[in-house]
Amino acid sequence: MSKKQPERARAHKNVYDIEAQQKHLRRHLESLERDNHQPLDDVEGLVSVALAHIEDDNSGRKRQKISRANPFSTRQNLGALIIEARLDLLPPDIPTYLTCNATPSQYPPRQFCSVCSFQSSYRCSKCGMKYCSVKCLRTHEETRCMKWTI
Amino acid sequence: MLETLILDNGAYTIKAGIATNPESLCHIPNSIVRGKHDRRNFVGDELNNCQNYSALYYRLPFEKGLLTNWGIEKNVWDRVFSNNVLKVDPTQHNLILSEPCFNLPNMQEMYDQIVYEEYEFAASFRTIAPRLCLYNDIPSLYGQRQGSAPDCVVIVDVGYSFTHIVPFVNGAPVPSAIKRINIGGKLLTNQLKELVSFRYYDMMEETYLINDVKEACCYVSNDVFKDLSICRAPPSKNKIIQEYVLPDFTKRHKGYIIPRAEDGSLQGRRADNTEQILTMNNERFMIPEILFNPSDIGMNQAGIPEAIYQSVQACDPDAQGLLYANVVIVGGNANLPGFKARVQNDLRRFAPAEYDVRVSIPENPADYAWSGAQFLASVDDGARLQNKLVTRKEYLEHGSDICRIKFGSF
Repeated sequence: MSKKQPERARAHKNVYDIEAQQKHLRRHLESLERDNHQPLDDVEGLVSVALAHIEDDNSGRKRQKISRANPFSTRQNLGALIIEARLDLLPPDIPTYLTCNATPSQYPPRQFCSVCSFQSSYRCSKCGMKYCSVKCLRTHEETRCMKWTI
Repeated sequence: MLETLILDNGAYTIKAGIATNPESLCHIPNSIVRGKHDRRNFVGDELNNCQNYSALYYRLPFEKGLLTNWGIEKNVWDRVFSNNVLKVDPTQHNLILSEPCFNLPNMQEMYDQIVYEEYEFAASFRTIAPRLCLYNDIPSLYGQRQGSAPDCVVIVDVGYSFTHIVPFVNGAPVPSAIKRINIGGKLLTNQLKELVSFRYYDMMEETYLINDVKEACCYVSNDVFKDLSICRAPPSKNKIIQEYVLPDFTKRHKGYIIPRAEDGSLQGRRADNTEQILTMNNERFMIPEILFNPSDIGMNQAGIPEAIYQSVQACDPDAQGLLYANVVIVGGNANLPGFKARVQNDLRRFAPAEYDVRVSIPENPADYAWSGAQFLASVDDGARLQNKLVTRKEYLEHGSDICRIKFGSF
């Protein structure tokens, strides 16, 4: 009995897939950066956005003769601009956009229930999300557990 | 002499106005919004004409704190300079323009290109917003006499995209000590949207509405665990729980909080009530809590007080005492009630005991950079500003290099 219990506890601890949980967390954090939940869905709106893009590109073509970069190009996105800035060529002691993040806290994270936000002491054994009571666990299992939605 | 236009180009709101006329300061949403029910686009302040704020589709020029879409930005600026808003002719004005911290060099070139080639401003000065804040009368925030300007200040800019902590020693920013927390107003609104959608109604499309709810209801708790235990109590004993009436866009265009009855009970749940009610309980303070503990949503970064500590520790040890004694919080999120007390309390725990910790929030934290720039433009009849300006002639002769030299690397 005394031998068996820690073994069981250890096995239990790693039931949920940490990698999947990390992936879900990353996706969740990305979703919090979004300006809109869903892409534009009315036809008129889409047409107006597309027209604006064509206009921008045209005005850019005229301008390109006098200057190098075209700020109005719609093909530019943040990723491409960061690569173009060649921040990786700078010596590591010069702080940049990519390196000025605050470092992790020296304190461990606090535990709050993923359903009701009150303090929680348990983790769902299947997906690793936190819950505080049987009631919340039930809600969690019905709505979010292993569905990897937000 | 030419008038000076000050444009604090925030990711969510542009603060723009003429330096000599503080009345002209206006707040313009920095976005093009598509109204689903109005079937049209609203550029900048046209959003005020919107009849139905539900299911708005936002297009913003900023992406992760950097200006990437000049097509949108130009539309909004055109609107700001037009007769509808400021009535300015760019060629007859000097410009003070704010840019994000750690703007990329290639993006800075685009800024210059737009300012001098597209709009043809006579001269301009481009810098980060915290630096503009520094020109304000900071000692008066601590009730001291004017003129004894502190050499060392920490500006905490809690903006829409990110939170930046920028320490200044002898009036110059310390680049290696600047810290960024990847949390701002947008993330808080999105998180609240998600919580409300999970617990009550599906509001995932209602960014505008939830932002209103956030501004009306949210506050910064000074003792989270105590407030949480209050939230567990039934409504009659629960001072925190609030009822927010959602707008229906026919009779009511703006939501509001229902005041408590005299006996302290909630009024919204009466049977004769047809209004749609959103109950805000621990959401009220658990949302701003993310700024103080990003680990609550799984983000592996320190919160504001600890990041201030990290930032000050990275500065010259001789200046650290002064830095702790001059912390100024700016940006729209600083309007959340209780912000100052919380930062003060938490920072006190991090800072060495022999140092004073003083935290302050100006009266209008979102406009602080603008008023700083206004001070810069007016002091010594603008002589101080003249030294910093790059004229259009200089730009045409030397290109973006002259801006890089004169404005500094950021």
